[in-house]
Amino acid sequence: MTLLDPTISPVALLAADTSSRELLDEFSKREIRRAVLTAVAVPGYQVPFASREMPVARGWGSGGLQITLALVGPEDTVKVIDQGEDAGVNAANLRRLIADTTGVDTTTVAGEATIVQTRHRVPEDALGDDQILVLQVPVPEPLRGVERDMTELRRMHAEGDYARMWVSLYEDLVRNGVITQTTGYPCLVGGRYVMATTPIPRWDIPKLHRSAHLSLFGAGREKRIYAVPPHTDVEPLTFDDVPFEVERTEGASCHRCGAGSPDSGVESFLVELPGTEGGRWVCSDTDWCNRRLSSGMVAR
Amino acid sequence: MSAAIDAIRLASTARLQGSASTVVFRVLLEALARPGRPLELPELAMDPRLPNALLLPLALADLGTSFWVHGLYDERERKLAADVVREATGARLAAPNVATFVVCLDGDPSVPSRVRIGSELAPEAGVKMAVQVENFATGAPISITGPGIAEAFITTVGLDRAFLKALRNRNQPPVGIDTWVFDRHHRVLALPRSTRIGVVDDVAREGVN
Amino acid sequence: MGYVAARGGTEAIAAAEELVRRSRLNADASWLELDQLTERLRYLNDRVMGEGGLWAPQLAARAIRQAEGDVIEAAHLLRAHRSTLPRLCELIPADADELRPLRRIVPAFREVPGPQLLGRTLDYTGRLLDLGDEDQARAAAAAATAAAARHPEDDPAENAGATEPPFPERLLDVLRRTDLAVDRRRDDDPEPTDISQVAVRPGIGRSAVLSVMARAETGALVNLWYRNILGPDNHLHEVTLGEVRHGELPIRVRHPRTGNPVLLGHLRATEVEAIEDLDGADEDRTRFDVGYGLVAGHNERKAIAMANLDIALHRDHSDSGLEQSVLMTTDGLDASGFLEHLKLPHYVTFRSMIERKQAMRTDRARNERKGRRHHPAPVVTPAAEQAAVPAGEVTP
Repeated sequence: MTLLDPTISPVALLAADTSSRELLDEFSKREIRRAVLTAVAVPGYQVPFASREMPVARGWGSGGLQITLALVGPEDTVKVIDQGEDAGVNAANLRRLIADTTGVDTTTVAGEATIVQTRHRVPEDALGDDQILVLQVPVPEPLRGVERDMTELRRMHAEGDYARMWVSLYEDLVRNGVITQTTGYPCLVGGRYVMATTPIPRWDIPKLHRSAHLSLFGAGREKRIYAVPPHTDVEPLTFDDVPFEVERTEGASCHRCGAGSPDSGVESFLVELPGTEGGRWVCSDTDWCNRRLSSGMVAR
Repeated sequence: MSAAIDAIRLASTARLQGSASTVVFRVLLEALARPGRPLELPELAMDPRLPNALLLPLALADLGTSFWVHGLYDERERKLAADVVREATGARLAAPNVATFVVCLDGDPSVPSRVRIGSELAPEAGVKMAVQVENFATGAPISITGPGIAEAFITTVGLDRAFLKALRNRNQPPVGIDTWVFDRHHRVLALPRSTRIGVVDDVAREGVN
Repeated sequence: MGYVAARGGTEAIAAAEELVRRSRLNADASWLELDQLTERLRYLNDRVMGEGGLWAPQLAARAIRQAEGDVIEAAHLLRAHRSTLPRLCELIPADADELRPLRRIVPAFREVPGPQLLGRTLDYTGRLLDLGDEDQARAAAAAATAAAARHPEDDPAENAGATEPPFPERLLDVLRRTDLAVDRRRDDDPEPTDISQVAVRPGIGRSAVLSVMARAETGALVNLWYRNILGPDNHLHEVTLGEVRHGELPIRVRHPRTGNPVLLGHLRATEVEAIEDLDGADEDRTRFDVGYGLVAGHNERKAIAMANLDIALHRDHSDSGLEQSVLMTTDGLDASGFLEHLKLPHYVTFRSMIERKQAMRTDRARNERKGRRHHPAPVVTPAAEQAAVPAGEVTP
């Protein structure tokens, strides 16, 4: 193909660089990148994007995957987790896809990754200013519980009209004694937009507040991208005399590394392993737990 | 050589593909996430006659987008820049008030008031604008604060007071203009619409808190 | 650093993938050739292309074979493949009047301009399961194929398409000529929206709504139609069909440098005009209106549902939520992807749910000890005020 070949369109020249194994062509990446930039410039706002079909089903991380694929360059190292675990089947599948189609390096150690793609968790290690967290989002709309009509939802966000959200939290509290929202707790971002927190547990929300790292949220099925830039307020919606509560269970500690026990001096998000003689607990961030074990930080 | 052929030849140096497009995007993203912080641009094969401000549309535009190049002083340079972007990306040349991307080659303070800023129902329609300046060390001092900025600081970005005031007046988040400023030392910094810009003579009057 | 294979998951999915691959090959049956699908299961192949949004008969056949006959999975394979391909140019819009009919019926009149052409349809074939002898059927198929190769002019399928140009006038033209149709044609028609390039949401233009329906899952669209006929929703009524056509449309592009049109090939499509008897208070009762359906391949039930929903959406003025239902709930990949994501691990969210149940019990026990039944009213936070909430709406 010569430079001035009259049969080749300018667009074809730009498209010609297809290293063939890539899951997104150059133009699809550009569209995702434009949406990512708008998302960073308007923190918490759900930017519509076209959303390509990925080799994973919609609802299985296709939004996070598209962001990661639009981000990764030759210098990157990617970590992929699901429920905090690197070895889960969904995490393993996404990691395999990303690595096989881009050739990027992968790691399980949060500190070594430049991009962490995750479903349902934020790693226990605080991420630094050279790291990007990509969260897979199944349902990006935080107000769907109080309103179904998309045109009305759009108006509510446009006008910052979150009155009905507050009413619903209030009613929840009066009826149940506590705010019963479990994961995906609604937060006000930068004092402007109410945002759905993916669903990560409440435990992880403080890690998004004024963080050093950039967080990007991708909802492939619903075709929305949103972002929390570094050093941006992420405030859980709650009332003055009702402290925001994270998941804690009295007496629970990791049966492997001891996190959560009084002598360990550290806490992590624990998940239960049900058993016949009462459950046991274990860290959901498996790599963090493993590193505590292997570095001898664990008090026996 | 005709101007058209010249543009095609220059465009062949400016067509960002694969990892070149990715690394430019990552610098633009990083700049936007940390407003006011200058970052080094990557080494590229782009002909040095082309201003770096073109990198914004060159990395992000395509068939489905439009752009406009503004420059008052050198019509040939402006026309060539526009031809190169169109040839290298397939994007359409469009009027400033509808273009997805605007490249301002001269810091003309009338530009911010002529581009689209989106609406509260569709903030995504706000323009992505690139401005070419000489040097970040010059220009009117500004204080900046907002998302991506740990602590407010005072800096210069190579733009004069008139331009910065015009930009500030257009930025009423969630509507506004996302701006990347490129200097002649291969650096870029960003001022997203979320950044609150205080022009320093005003700041001095109001007092820095 | 290279590729870090976290143990456990990677091995499990690799083993599952290998089992699928091996079982597909070792099925104790002869290899499934692509022409078996493109030529003998054409409704299936057409449906996958329509829902996959890509006209590529050979690729669709591959997708069906690879998906072991799962239609949505096959459509997914096609769409994911398309994601990897660059978008090089836009087609020149084809005029639907250029559709060369292989089949055309007009239920609204006994005799119409142009032919009533039954063509290849299952409509009047007896719904009796063919229990004939397999060997005889195989021999008959071979003989018919050989005969068709010798005398292509005798092929009934070929003959069905042999209509004389110009293409038949459509019923809508007749209605317009006799001033019986509301004329909604407009000359400010914008460029059609490509739904693979934008996120659709309510309020988007008609071209996008039509595209969504054209790519919708057939069963979802049929169900949405029936739900409105017999179910709790009541946003449409039964139409009279004007045109039902199945035929070939030309695909043309502009040459990138010369700008001249270039014919690339044809695709088969099904087109439907649905005539609506207007009965609204603000509508012209002396005239009819028309809904439009056009889908890739031969899929009449989807095209009819689409045409009826199109006119219903127009009459509804986006008031009822029907538009949101059409736009957001009829895509097969969206719906089944989200449904099936329930199979993914959810133990982090579940743990959080258990914790809230325990928190509610703790709170209840504490209040009972204090002899109090209700939680005291909360106080509005500064964050609440920032969100511009009138205090009265939060604090009773």
